[in-house]
Amino acid sequence: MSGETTSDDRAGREAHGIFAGLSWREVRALLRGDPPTARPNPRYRAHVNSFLLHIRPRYYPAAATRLTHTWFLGLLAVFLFVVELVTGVLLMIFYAPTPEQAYGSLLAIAYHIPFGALLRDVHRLAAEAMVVVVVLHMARVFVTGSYKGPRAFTWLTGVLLLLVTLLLSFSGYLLPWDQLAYWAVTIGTSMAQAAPLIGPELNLLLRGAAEIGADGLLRFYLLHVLLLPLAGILLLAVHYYRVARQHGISLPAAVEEGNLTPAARQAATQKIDFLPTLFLRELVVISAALLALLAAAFYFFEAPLEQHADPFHTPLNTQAPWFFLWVQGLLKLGDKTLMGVIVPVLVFLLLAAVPYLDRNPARRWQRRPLALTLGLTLMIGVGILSYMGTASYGITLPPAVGIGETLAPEEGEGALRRLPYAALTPGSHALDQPFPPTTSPALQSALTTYAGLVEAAVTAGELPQGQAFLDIVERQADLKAVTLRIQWQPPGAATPLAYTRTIYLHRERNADATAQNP
Amino acid sequence: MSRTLILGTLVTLALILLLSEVGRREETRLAAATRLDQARRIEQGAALYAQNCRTCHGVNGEGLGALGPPLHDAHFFTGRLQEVGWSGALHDYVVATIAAGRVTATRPLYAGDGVVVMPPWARANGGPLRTDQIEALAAFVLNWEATALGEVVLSPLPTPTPPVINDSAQVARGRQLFTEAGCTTCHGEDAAGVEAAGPSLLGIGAAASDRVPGVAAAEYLRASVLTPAAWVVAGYAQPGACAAVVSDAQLADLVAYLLTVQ
Repeated sequence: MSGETTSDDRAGREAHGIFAGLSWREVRALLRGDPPTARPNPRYRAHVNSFLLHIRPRYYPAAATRLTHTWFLGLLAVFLFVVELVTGVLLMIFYAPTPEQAYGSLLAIAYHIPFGALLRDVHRLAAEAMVVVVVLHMARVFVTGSYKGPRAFTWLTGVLLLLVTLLLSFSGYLLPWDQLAYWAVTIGTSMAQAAPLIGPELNLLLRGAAEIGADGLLRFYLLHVLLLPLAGILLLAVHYYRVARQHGISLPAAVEEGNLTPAARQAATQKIDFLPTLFLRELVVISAALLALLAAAFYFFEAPLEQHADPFHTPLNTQAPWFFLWVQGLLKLGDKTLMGVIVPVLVFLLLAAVPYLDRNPARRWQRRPLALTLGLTLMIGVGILSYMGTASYGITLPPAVGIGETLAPEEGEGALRRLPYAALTPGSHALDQPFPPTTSPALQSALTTYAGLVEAAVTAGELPQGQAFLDIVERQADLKAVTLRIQWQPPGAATPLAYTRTIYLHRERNADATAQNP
Repeated sequence: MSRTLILGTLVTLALILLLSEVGRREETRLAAATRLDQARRIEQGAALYAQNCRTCHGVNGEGLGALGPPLHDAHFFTGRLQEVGWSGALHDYVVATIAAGRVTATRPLYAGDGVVVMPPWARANGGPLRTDQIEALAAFVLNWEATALGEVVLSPLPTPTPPVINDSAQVARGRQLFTEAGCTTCHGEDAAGVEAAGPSLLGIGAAASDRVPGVAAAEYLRASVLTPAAWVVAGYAQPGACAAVVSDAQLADLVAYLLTVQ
């Protein structure tokens, strides 16, 4: 009995530093959900002793922590940020920010480094999720009217954090040094060029030269791994310290302004301790988020990687990252300076100014019709503009090129690359002839798709007298060349025009669908 | 409270399960990814070869006369390193040759007249290709080994060249083409040859059948028309390009004529 006490005490002493002055027994009680072991509550003292706990409030009013009020979005944003920091540092071990080595690093990470593919998938997925979560967090704060009064400046730091999140995502875009990266960032920085007064200087500052090259890559790398994360941490410190120390998480508007019965009001404002209730709740939420993130990255998500960046070859479809599609949509509406720079800057200024423009003190949604309508309009507008920003909107390829791009795209898979190797029966397949009986069913289905596309173009008059072929030749052991040939006779032209596109397919390509395949 | 604890325990268990699954699969994934990476290189190399190399080394690496040696033959994979005295691996030899090119040929057939026989391809040497592209090309070239050594036989090309049927009409068309396409400039009227410019082709049908071991007469003639420098008869200069023979059918006609010319 006495021996037990001694070991308990010793354990308690050892645990003193780690557990912020809480005794071992107290920690055990806390994790078991038992009440405090002493009076006054030693858990409150931990908030004074520990740095990490001292920035967390000792308790919240019950209603402020309701799931349907916060949805844990702020916590999830911080969680994703930490995931980015950890996976980012691990990726930095294998990454070299030079045009000669960057793409090779990415291939090595995807193909040859243990857990490298998962690491990159998680980093990429968490980055995209972080944009979503931050936007949702902002929408939540807007809808619940939580940006009013003392929280106005907190909202402002939140808008800056949104900007940092977007810039972090965008600066990370260049690092793989693939076609997607190179051209998306070329477009992005050429928009900086269009900024009034400082445009050319800003562009030069970002690119480091007339074209993006070694200097531009290094600059984006340093922005991505150093400057922007530091800015994010600093802004997050201000943002969270205000929430924790200045004004707390807002109560639901219905609690703050509604007519509650005294009992209901008491239940809503009852204190809930951080230790243990909220701490354990957060631990569970973070573990569940980690589980979801890892499972999604492992089973469903593959971070894209296109061909090596090639300054001399503009891809057929250049598309901004999805969170900047709305800017690309704007660009299709007007000139670069107005639509590409001034309007987006105004949008962000408007967002930042929301608490200062909205003088309506009410927080309940029923009493804020104007603010909510405007907010909804902005969201719908961004949605429509994003659709207009997609590559398929308003840009059409020449018909034969379009067919080639559908079946065997420059980037990504397409119907031909998805065919099993064995299904590629060597031979020249004319689409207007019946398929020979040896043609495999998978190839027949691809040929039918191909014939359908050609026929549609012929019917539409885009490929007059169009004829199409698919040639499959075995080139090497385990390597076949697949050539699309389309020939057509434009009215008045002396000779027919032809389009050919050859892709090479190796037996191993579809051997293991679960492996990484950029 | 207890609900949180139960949920937390379940989530932790699920995390452990997921992580062990990730760990269990990783070795298989890496092995598959390594094969896939090689496949990707070969595919990329094939496209680069078609763009940059086939005009001298042939579409299938068969070599084009004096323009470029074959890369797709057993000698390349079994004897080439010894021939040039290269002590490293074949892969390194291929990469180094593509990157640096060749100023002088290693065999008398290929140039030797002071011009660069193979241009350097690496960017570092003023060429157009990146290091990873040269690696991809090497992967593609080395992938010819199985077929070069006869371990794998490819399905024959499904687009047959028109047959040399050798009937009088085809021979007559070939005879006419021989004049019109300008063959007579070097080989003379009636194919009797022009001193120092081009050898006589009289009786070439019989001579061609055993001039190069393993190459049939029609094939020898076909290749010689396409690439005049493929096999040069002693005493004659390296020929330039022949005048145009535009279609496979014309080529068959010409070969039919040459097989019969006496």
